[in-house]
Amino acid sequence: MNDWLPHFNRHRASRRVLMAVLITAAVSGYFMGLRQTRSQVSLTRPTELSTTQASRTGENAERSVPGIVNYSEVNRKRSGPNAGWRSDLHLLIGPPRLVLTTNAPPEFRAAAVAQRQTRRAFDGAPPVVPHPIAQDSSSACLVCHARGLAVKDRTASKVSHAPFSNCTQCHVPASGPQIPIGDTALREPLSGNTFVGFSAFGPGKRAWPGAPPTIPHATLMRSDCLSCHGPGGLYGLRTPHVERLLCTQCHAPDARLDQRLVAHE
Amino acid sequence: MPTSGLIITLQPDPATQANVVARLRARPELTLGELSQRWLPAALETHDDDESREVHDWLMALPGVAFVDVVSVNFEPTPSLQPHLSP
Amino acid sequence: MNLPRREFLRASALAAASAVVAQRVGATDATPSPAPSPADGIAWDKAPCRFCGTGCHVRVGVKDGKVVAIQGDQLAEVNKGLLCVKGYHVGLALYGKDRLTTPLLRKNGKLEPISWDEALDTIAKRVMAAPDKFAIYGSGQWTIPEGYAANKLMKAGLSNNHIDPNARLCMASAVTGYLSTYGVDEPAGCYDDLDACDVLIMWGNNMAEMHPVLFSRVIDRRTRGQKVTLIDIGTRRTRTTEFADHYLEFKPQSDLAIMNGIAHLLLKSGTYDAKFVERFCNFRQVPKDPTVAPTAPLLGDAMSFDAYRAALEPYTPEYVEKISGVPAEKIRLLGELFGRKDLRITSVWCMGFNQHSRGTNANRLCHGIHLLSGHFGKPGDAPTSLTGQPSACGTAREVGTMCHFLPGGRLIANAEHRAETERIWNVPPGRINPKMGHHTVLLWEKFCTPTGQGGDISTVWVQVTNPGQSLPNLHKLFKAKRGLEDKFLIVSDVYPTATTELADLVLPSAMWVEKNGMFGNSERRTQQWFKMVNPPGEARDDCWQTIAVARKLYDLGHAGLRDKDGKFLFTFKNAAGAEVPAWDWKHYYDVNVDRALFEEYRAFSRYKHKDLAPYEEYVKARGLRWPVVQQAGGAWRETKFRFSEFDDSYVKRGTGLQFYHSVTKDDKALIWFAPYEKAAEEPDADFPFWLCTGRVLEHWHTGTMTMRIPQLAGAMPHAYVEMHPADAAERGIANGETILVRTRRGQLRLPVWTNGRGHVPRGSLFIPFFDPRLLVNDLTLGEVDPISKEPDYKKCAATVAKLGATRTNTV
Repeated sequence: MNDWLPHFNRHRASRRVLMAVLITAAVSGYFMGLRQTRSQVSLTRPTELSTTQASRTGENAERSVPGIVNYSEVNRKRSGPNAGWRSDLHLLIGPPRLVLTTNAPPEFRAAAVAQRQTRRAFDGAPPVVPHPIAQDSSSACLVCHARGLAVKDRTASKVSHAPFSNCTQCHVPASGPQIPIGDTALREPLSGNTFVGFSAFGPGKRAWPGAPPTIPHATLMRSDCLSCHGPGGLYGLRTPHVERLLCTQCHAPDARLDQRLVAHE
Repeated sequence: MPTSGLIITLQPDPATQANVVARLRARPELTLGELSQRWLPAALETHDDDESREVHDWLMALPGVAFVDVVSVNFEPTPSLQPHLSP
Repeated sequence: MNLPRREFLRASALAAASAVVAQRVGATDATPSPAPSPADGIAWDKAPCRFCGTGCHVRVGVKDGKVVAIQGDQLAEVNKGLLCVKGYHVGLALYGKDRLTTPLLRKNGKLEPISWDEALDTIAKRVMAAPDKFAIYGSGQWTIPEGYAANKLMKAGLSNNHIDPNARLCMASAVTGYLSTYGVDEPAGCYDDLDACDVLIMWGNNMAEMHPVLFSRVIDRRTRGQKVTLIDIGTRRTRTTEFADHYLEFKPQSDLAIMNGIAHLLLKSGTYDAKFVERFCNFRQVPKDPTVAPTAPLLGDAMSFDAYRAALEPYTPEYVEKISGVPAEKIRLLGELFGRKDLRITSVWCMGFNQHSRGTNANRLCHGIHLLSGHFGKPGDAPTSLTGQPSACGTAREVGTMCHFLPGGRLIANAEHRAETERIWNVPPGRINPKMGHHTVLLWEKFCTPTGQGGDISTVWVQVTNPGQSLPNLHKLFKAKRGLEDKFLIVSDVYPTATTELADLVLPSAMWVEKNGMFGNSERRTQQWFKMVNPPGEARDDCWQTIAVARKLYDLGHAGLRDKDGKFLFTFKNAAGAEVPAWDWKHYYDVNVDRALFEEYRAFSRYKHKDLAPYEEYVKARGLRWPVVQQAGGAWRETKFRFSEFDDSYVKRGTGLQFYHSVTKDDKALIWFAPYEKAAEEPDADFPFWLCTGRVLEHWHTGTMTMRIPQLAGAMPHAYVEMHPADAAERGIANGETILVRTRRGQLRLPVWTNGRGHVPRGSLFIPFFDPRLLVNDLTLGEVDPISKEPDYKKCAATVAKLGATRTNTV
């Protein structure tokens, strides 16, 4: 890797072209993947290749005279000049890997909590979205967030609550709709805000060293523990025993944090 | 090709510790750091996640090892994709 | 991968592991620091959300005298623990850096801090000098006690009916629609209809953004495997459209024709509910001569069923298609749906029908198709208007803080109603002025007209709203105040706004959980909360401000501030029976003024069967829907489905359904015929675009609060004009480019957004009104519905221009 980097530093233009090609490939591969997952969601398996008409009938002819393959068919039609072109989606995207960890040291927990705070007004507020979104529809959100997804070094966390389909009702993009306005002064806030949100509860209490800690936060809208504590969660918050699924068997929620109050008559 | 940073927690007994360290050193995929008290930092290089897991399980089963913490994992793209994909 | 890279990775991994080991070694035997005891230090209490009319309940977490967290309230039936992004961040609305914290008086053009005493004196002296030229402009964000106190001060104290709320701008047409159909205001059904309907029709209503919690209440049924058909009938594609099974895009104003088309089909195919109509309905039409009596436009002319049928004859699907642009087959689809008895159909609407130059008729026609088809009075079968403000219903409509209303649905024009109100208020007969006051648009027109030219309002006190941004046609109805030296504008608010810019006196107010309060939401639900934190600086409750001014007037000798027995109109007693000087801020919270005012107001609620329970019942509940009727055992029972025998205890047994406030006094509702009529202003050669205004999810009303909440302002930092990409391309306009939008009232520069969140059809523009820097109401039309006096914000003619091309001749 290091040996070709200097070369490309000298040839910025060609690097840009290569990047453009890579991005195009990634994006088109991504959307093709989406189309396919609509019927059968399987992000871990490679795209199945179907036997194309071309390969059955005129493979030799096409090989002798390389024809142009339509982009919409390129994934299917393994012939012509783009025969080697692959959608390597299965290598790009997958559910977060199960990685065995132990309880994270406190400094990692603190770092994880701090990262959460950058996206929340207070502990329990719906996090803002750290990437641009489709403004006119929520339907794209659940493609990645319904089950959680790791795309290269980025993780789309699994929703921590039952999936409501109007996602943008609560989750709004932190960096606005990104209208390419000329008058950027309009993006400046009218005034600051001095609100200091309740940041985070400490770690759960343990009855004795080694005992399972209690749940130190409200569980409202956080019913799916693995969203934050599972393999896709931040390291500092991850459970050391991701294989166990019945979390509340050992970890007790706190009635004072949840709304288990006496209802009015 | 995943590269992981591990902390191997050994049993407190110094005699077993020396024995364990020797056995660990024999594994080529492990690079060991300096033992401090009962904790031994190590780097683990494997070809894929399954192999990582195998080594991890081996470590856990090794007499004298109390626990293994994974501190960091780096997933690099596999250098060649062709062997997987060629029909 | 080459070797140096691998070595680097291995070294990094080893270094990371070694670093952790080093830390562990250093921390050997250290016991973990004691966990901060969770929940301790945060006190939680309930409150309805401060923003829209949905009326979600939130739990407010308070620590060290500050709001620190918000949760959805799981005990609340409205939202069942869920909120929208505004609701989750409502606590931040208190903490904008530029909160107003001291009274300010304009001296030599500049607002200078003054004392509360000087501020109250200033108001009292202006009122004493010309009590009949004084007006209060209030709000659907007033709490119930605030509105009640202001109403009493004006109507009982000053014999002055120049009090109107901003709710005139948002739901006056819904009120006239209900009144002229059922004889009594507010929806018969409630949000439970959303859980039971098979078909939900959203009329000009972008529910996904404007009432997201209610919208989720419907679409979450799909997640649970239920089938509910969503029909979006609108003038632009929105986020709501994305969830809709059918989208019917109509030309602005032609909703009238669509509803007539549905009625036409029901009659043609004979699928209307003949039995229901026979038993429960009469027919009405717009009066031939609306000038014979002031109530004539509201009551209309009687009409036979045959005449009704004949009037609808022309509205064939093909004719409706010609007017509306909606394909005839889609009109037939609606006709067929309404004709089916096996479906439950709920209609919801908000500003699309209400801010309409024929808003009353639009409301009437919608009630009409539900009555004609019998889709009424069963859970899931309901025509229901939604409101935009948290207490448009509770305060503006029920307390009657309007220029023609008295509390509890009574009318100023009715001598009996005046006498009864005077009796409850214990003021001498004749105290209440029998002449209606100025409605909102007229009030501001009179205020902005020089006194010598008939401008008979000289002082306006604005509470809890921002007319400098929300009034239509701002140049005429607000900005014209500039330079009128004898006019005086008083504004009580929490932040500087477009209104305070022209204010002569600014009073800093407490907001939301900085004071006690009560709201009434869209489904007749009355809600209560307690003060949880102190307001900043010298900010004080609006209700206290009203009472303190009343006391100043009393001290200055204004006779109206005394009741029949010579006692001050706002006299409060503590539990021991001793009078509490609530006008003195130091003593305001010595007694629960909210409870005292509410208990007094409650006496008004029986007349129109809007029975309210005692204050304590609301303290316990997450709101109760009126009529709240006391049961034999003493318990208080709310009513979900009004007029329906199975739920409404005021319905005569055996009738099934009874419209007990029937206009025609025969327990029947009125089905109206109203023709399609053109909009007040339509596009032409000079102004070829329709211009529509509205809200976005993240911002509420004029953005005074939400623009100061970083998460909301970050998500939607500024206003824009939505334009069809082809319209933009034709004019060489790029996405994001700043252009000039012009109407006959004014012009505005703002960035274009094509293919953005909403999608307007060709020839249409949409501009949200939340941004105080980009006032779309400089452009809007002040034309009002002739019956409700509510302006049309959704339709006027506009033109656009690239900036370079027009700068020379328009600036």
